[in-house]
Formats: sequence, C-alpha cells, structure tokens
Amino acid sequence: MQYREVFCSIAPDQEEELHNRFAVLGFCSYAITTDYKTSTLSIYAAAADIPPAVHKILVEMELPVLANSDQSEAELLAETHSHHAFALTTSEPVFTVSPDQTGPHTILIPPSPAFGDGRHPATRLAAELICQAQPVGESILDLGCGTGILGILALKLGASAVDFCDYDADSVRATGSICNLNGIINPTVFSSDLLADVTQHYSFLIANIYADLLEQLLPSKKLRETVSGDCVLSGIHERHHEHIRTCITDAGYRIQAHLSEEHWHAFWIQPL
Amino acid sequence: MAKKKEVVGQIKLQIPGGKATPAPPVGPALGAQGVNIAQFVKEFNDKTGKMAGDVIPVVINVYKDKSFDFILKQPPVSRLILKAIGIDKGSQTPGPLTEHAVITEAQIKEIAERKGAELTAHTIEAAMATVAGTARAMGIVVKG
Repeated sequence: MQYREVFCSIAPDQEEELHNRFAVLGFCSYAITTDYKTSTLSIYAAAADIPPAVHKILVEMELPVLANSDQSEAELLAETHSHHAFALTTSEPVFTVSPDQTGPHTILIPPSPAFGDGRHPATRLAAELICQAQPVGESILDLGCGTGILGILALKLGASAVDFCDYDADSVRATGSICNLNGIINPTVFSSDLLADVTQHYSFLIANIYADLLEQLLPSKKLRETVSGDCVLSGIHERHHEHIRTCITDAGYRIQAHLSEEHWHAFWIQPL
Repeated sequence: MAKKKEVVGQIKLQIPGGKATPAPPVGPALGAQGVNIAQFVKEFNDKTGKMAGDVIPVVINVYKDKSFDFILKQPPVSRLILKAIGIDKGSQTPGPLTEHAVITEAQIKEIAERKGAELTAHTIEAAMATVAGTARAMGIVVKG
C-alpha cells in the first residue's frame, strides 16, 4: 500500500478544532506529535492521496503543508521502527548473494517476526559491503541482527566467529532458529540495547540499525573498547546520511566505501 | 519517591477501540518517537477491546528512556454529537444539514457530562454551551 505522508505545523489551540473536524469526517489516519513544544500534524493518506475534504480543512484552517512524501507502508515502517524489529512478510524465503571470489551464497530466511529478509535496500547494501570487506578470519558482532541474515552471510564468507545481538526478544529467537536452519549450530545470540550488555571483544562490527542509533553508537567509548577494527553501518536514510558521515569522521574513522540505493545509504568504515 | 521522568514527546492519535495495528498512522507516529510499537498496540487493544465501535483518542507520553504511558480520552465532541443524533457525517458546508439534524438539550447535557473534565469549562452550563457551539458549527439545530 502506498501512503502519502503530509506534515503541517500547528498551534496548540488548533488541536481541538482539528480533532473535531476530522471526527466529523470519520477521518482517523493522522497523528499530532508534540516535541520540544512544537506540534506537528502528520496525515497518512492511503492510496497516496489526501481526501479532498481533509485538504479543505487544512486550507480553511490556514495550515500550510510543510513537507510531503509518498512511501510504501514497508518503507514508512522500516524508516521509523528504530528500536525493535518488525515483521516484513516474506514471500521469497531465500536470499542469495554472489560475490566474485567465493561464488553464490544462499541463506534461508523463513517468515519470522524479525527484520531482514534481503528485500530492503538497507540489508542489501550492508550485504554488499560485507562482501567487499571480505571478513575472512574476523571475529564479528552483528548488532541489531534481526533475522541474523548479515552475520550468517559473514560466516559463509569465512568469518571465524559471529555473535548476534538484538534489542528485540523476537529477533533473538528468530536468529537462533534461522542460524540452525542454515547449518550454524549453537550460535551465540543475546539481547542488548546497543552495546550495553556486550562483554566480549570483536575485530569487526556489522550494524544495520538506523541512523539515530548509529548517532549514539559512533561517539561512544564502548564502541572502541568493544570493536577494534572495521565496521559496516547501514540503515541510514538519505535525510541523515550527511550527519552520519560527520559522526563517522568525528569518531575517528575513515570511510572505506559508501553505497546507496533508493533513499538508503551504507558505509564501510575503518579506524584511523 | 521515584524521580519524575522527563517527557520528551507527546503523540495524539484517534484509534478505533481494540483495533490498533502497526499500520500508519500508529506505526510511523510511534516509531518516530522510539516507542515500542508492538507493546503499545497490545496494551491499547487490551484496554479498549470492550469499546469496539468507538474511536478513542489516546495521548501517549514518551519519556527520555523511550518508555511510554498513555491516557485514553472520550471521543471528540463532534463524534459524540453524531452518535447521539444517529447520523454519519456532519455538514460539509455551513448551514443546517437537513430538517432531521436536530439535537436536544438533554442529549447535549449527556455529552457535556460524558466529556466532563476534558472540556475547559468550569460548570456544566458552560460545558453544554461548548457542546452546543460545536453542534451549530456542524450545521445541527439545537432544540430547547
């Protein structure tokens, strides 16, 4: 389903009138968010069109549209679900990558309540960078593993060990069973909010976890203490990618490769 | 006493009772604030399962640590008016809807009482005046 997302800035005294007028129309597909004392009206119109009656209310209340965008439901959800995994229905349960050196690798991803089945650009970009980085012999942390797809790929590419962690309990369970399905016996999978509960040390990091979390992760001392080497960072919407680039430089890393697809960006970075 | 947690964001949504899903608007609005959507959907549906059929306004407070709580409110006055007089939509243009679009003082009082503390009015009379004003703006004749 395509949605048109429209944002308007509103005054506090307009809220009640908006609720009343939308209620008369039976229109519920909106949210009013108050953040740092400013209120924003977000309208999510299915079929990528704002109903004329809703548009008329915006005009009559003199609410100019600040921004709008057309996105599919999956994009909307993927962009905003930064703190836990979300099920994207999987109809193609196989993810295949074909790096030049080592031939095609196929990973079985059955439907699961976890993010990462190889269809989202963020996952594909990260997979491509992992292939480029050739993590042979590395000990890897897959942070925000979702289905475990990227860590499993790294193992197939020759990583010596991968530990998986995710904030979300469903993802931890999904990763365990998907690892087994792909021939990885007794994987280390645990729950952690970013690096808070990570105790081991690694030589390589995979983090496909959205920009706001990368922004917290990059400057943290714990990152340098935990991971001594390269990182593959993905899940960065184009809105944030310049900012993340600055965070990477400020944190003392060099960008080895940068890829983008549709609205999404990914970086392979190395410590200076 | 526990230290009061800092509210960093507030989200207001209108959701049919027992029918919250992660689809827009709920998912994107909550996700943008870092709220655990699955947890909200479950808690909201648990609390409002018995109110199926009503659209329930909900105010979600988001705290600095991404935890949240929410308050359920009464439906908007305009919705209560439509329900009371048994029609679906209000007037799209100013002026009376039809000769049938009439609301009685008793119905207005009932709505004012149900809405109660959520209206800014201090007395029941003032609350009724607010409700009557909304009804007139919708093109409904107030009788009595």
